[in-house]
Amino acid sequence: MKNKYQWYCLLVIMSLFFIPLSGYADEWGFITIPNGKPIRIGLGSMLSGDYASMGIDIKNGAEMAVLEKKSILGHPVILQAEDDGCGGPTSVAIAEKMCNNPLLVGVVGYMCSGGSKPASDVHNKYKVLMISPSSTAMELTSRGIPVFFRTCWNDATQARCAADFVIKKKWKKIVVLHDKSDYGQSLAHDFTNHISKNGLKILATEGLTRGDKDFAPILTKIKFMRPELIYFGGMAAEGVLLARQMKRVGIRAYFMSDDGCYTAKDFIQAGGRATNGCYVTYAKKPDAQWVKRFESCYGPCQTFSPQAYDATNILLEAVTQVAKKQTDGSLIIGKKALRDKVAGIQYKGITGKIAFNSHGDRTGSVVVIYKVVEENGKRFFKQLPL
Amino acid sequence: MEYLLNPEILTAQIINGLTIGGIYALIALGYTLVYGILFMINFAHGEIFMFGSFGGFAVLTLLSNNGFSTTHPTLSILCAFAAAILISSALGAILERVAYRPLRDAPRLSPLISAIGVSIFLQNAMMLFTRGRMQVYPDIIPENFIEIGWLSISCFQISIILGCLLLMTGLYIFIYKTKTGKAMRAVAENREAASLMGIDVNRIITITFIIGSALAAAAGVMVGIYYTQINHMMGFIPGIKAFTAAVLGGIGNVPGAMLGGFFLGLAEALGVLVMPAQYKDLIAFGLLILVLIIRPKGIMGEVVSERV
Amino acid sequence: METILKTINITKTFGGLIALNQVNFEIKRGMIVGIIGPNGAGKTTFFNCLTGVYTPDSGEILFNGTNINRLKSHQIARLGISRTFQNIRLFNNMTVLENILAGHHCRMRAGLWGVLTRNKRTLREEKDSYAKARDFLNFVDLKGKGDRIAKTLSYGDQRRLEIARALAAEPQLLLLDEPTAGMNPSETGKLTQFVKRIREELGLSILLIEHDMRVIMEISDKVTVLDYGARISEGTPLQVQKDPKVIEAYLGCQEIIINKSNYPANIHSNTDLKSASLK
Repeated sequence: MKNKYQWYCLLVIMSLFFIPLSGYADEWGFITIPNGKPIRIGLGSMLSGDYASMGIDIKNGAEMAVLEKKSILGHPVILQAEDDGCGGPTSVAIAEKMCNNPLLVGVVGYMCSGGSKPASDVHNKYKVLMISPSSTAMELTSRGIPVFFRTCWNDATQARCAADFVIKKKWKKIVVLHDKSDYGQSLAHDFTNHISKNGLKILATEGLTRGDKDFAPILTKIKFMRPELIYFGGMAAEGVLLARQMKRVGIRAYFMSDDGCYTAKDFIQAGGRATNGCYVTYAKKPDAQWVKRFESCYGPCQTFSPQAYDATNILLEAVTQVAKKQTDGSLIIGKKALRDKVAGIQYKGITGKIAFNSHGDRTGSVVVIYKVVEENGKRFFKQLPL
Repeated sequence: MEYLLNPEILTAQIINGLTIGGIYALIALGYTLVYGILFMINFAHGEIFMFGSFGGFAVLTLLSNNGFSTTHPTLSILCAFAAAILISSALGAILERVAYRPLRDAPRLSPLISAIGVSIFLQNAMMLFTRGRMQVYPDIIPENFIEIGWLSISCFQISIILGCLLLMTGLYIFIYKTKTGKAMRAVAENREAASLMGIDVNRIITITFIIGSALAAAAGVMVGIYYTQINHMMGFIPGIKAFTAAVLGGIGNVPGAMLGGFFLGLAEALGVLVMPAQYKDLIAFGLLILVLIIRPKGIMGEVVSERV
Repeated sequence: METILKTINITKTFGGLIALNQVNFEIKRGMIVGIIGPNGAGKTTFFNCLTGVYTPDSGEILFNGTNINRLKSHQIARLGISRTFQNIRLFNNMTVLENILAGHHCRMRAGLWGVLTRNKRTLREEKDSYAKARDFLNFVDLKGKGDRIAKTLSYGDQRRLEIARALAAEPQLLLLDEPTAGMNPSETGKLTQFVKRIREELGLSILLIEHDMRVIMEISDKVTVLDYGARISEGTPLQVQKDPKVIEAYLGCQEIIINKSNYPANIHSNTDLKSASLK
């Protein structure tokens, strides 16, 4: 018995030597997918709770990409979706769980910047790739984390786009609101910065609480300032209430918000007539054909499913190119090689051309302005000409 | 500070404060009624409120889909209230029977944990049912505004304030004038003596849950109609705020909960005028701490308590 | 005379302590029966068993011939047994009248639906119950104090209110647990007369626990003596007084029992030592 065991050990050690010998050295190590085992793509987003509908939309985008890809070099691809609750501690726990899964090649996520930030440290520790479809906070790409990429834009891009538009429109009296989250605050901050650089003044900046329903007190106070524009950094749940309650309180100002409010169901449909004329910043419309395909499977396309679809595809593409099939049928994927492949990718996605800069941000201008318009009894986001 | 001196903005804020305060008060009554009788905090009360709101939503959506609501808007809204009250009351009664009654003689923390468990369970059940999506109340009646100069007051706000006052008056009459109400108070005062006087304590406790839940359901429908969007998490913040209101007023004290609700609503609305809005919750909870330091039993709390 | 309440061998234990040991007891309609015994003899436990606060471990309690062992307190109250407490347990923050109305609760029929819709029958019933409550208020001489908060009443008034509340439940059998505890001689005298009036005017059977021997002597038709949870004697007040077992149970207290005029005629304090050892 003992003898047999020794032989087995020797075999294992030998095979370990065999890997570098076969010419794939990788300073970050390898992911080995044994024969017959599936390749796992992780997904971290909020699947329950306040913004579950946005999180599920992301999951649907990723799922669609995985289902279309089906397999890589004979290994089936499966999506492992985890609910990270959009928050620090849970995201870290989920990140640890995913990074310690030896069959997982990378993660699409995480959904919120507040979750992506601590999770990216975990991913950096294990050198597991993450591509977020929706975390837009500036600091994510400025912290020198090599394994972080995003297929969305960053807050500065978005806020600058909004600010430029405001400057162009010559609106002078502006009130900024945010939902006190990392996301909302950073948008509000960047927007304010950009506005003030151009010599305009912000009348007031106020924060509100996520999950609250009654903003009449804040808006009553704001009404008194007689603003021309209210800019809100936050999500649709609060954004739509603001739009509605602005009308209720009697504020006749424009309302402008961010990608968080770019959802037909939770913003336009929920807000009804009150959302007419509201502006939001969001990516260029995704490929129309894709939207049709998506909507036939999952219902109305919301906010980040196109970005999630692209992120997943980039990950799958990189795996396809980097993975090496062994004679025993197993796959070997170099972690550094995978990362470098993603960093240098030139991908034609449904949200446009995708390439990453050295920080992991998408290059090129991606954000445009939409306005809610009502035409022929239908209300929708209309992209404004650049 | 300048805002506080402006009578128009002040009036507007008072109306805002009364609106949300009325809703807090209705929910707070449920906390206080149950506490008064069982000395436990029913932390699932926010979810009962949420279920009520969804009940009203289901009925209104149904009625607006088949066109009934366009021809009979008022009747539809009454139906929504009835359905919500029915659903929440049933839920409240079932909760009491299943989650709290078996623990009635257990240490006080056990029903508390049970309540928190039920709360999470109900939230998640509704999340699975609605797939986590936000639901939107259909617009049944157009919102009219009463405009007085700069002020514009929504007729919804007026109806909510009046509705809350009406329900509270009803509750007050129920508790102080009817036989069941007297029995409720008797059970709250001394459960054993009440039982020996021929009062069916279990029945009274069930009725208490039903009434608290019905008030929460009414608040739920009001929130639905006024704020239009509801989701499975909607019970959390109002639940916490209403609990605060109940403690502010003196938990276990019915007029106290009403007062506490309005007090909290007004404090939030007027507080926004004094400091930036991000400190709204700070004001609410800071006030709670302050009141509890000065009057540990709340504004209307009993001064002498002879609880055994 | 028919038997209204009968217990057959009821036993109640708490852990290792036998609080009631095979107690047989009987009370006939219209009788006033006193229960005496040193502190800790099981008198209040006996009351608690009769009113459903405790369920006896074994034995049977028959009220008007039906077994009420397993009934809940409120069901027993509805059948017609009502009681007061050794330490007053009023609904302190309710008014005097409301206390009496709460007692009458079990005689009212309206359900929650009737109460909420306030239909004619309920309203009439509530009106009637108010009238009845006022009658009881007058009966216990608390006229004019109906709107006072119960806890603001004097001690003697609180005692009488507790009796009024018990009477409002319209019982057939009234259990009084030390009704004169803490009263001065003149109050005690008034209360004794009052208990007699209850029997005469309302025709109730009354069972009372009492430490004051003069009260027992004056109003009981029959006396039962409990000691260590067991019935050690029963008979007319005079018979019981002479029973050597009773004298022994009370140890050195016989002079007090015999010397009726000696105030305080309360054995209570003399038996503290014994009760302490029992607890």
